[in-house]
Amino acid sequence: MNKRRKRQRGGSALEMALLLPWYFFLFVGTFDWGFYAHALISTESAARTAVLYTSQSTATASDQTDACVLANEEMRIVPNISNTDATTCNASPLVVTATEIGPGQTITATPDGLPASQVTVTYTTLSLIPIPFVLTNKATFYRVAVMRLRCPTC
Amino acid sequence: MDRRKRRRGSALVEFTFTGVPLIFVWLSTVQIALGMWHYHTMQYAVKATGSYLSMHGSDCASPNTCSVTIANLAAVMKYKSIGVPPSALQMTFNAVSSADHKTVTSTVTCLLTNATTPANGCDQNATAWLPAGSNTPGSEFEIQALFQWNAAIGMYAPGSSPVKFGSFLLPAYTHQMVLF
Repeated sequence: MNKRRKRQRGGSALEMALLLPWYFFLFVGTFDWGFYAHALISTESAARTAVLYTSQSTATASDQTDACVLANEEMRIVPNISNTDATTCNASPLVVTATEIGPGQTITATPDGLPASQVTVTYTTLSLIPIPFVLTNKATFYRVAVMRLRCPTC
Repeated sequence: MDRRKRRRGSALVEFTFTGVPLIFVWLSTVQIALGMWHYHTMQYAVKATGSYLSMHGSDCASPNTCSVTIANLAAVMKYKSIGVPPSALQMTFNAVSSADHKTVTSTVTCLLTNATTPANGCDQNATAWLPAGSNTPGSEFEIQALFQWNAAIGMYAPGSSPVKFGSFLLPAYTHQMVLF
């Protein structure tokens, strides 16, 4: 009996040691994906809010500055944007572009062939815990929103 | 038999060791699920209320009769935020300058209830919203909701704030503009 118990001693500790990394990465993966999902939704929301403004008229269709301010306001809920007050949005973590698209523009294709505004928002998350070969410590999300100009002659 | 006698009770001891942490794991899962439900529902409800307001600007004024009040917006918000206790939802309705997209020109803050004492229930608020002059197409507005969520667990958001236990303010926000 004593011999058998002696042989088994340490077995559970070894099993625990083998399992712990999996549990750790399971937690890390859940945590990271939660943040990434939140960032993705915020990025999409920022693009929609900005394009709602830029699609007013031809005068606002390429208004980079206002699109940046609006996207920045919408992104304040994510940690690495919360304290910024950007008006240019031309470098990481937040890049915003606003372009008029449609007939006569560089990009001519629009969903219905009419003049529209296109806003792109690119957001890079803050550094999280990576999982080797599976999940990087940062993710970059890119969202495009297109809306037809409400006043294409203004 | 001797061996079984010696082992009697060990399962109970082991269950005690693992059971207590497991209860916390289970509680945490339930709490997170509830919190995410509240958070997501609030976001959805605030955006839906914003969409409703964006369609009821100055075009709704006389001779049309579809102008809305804070009470009307509260009704939309309540209808869309199923599962979130209205009495714990602090609403802020802002009219925002279209020039800088930030400056608040007019604001109303109320609880999403019919509370009359203090008289801050959104249900009782007959203020026309958006106010005249801030309701033309292109005018901007914000709607914010804050929900005091009391959880049995703590959370840590890296880079945002120190660790806090027990109580969180879940925010929801939308910035839109009047379309009609």
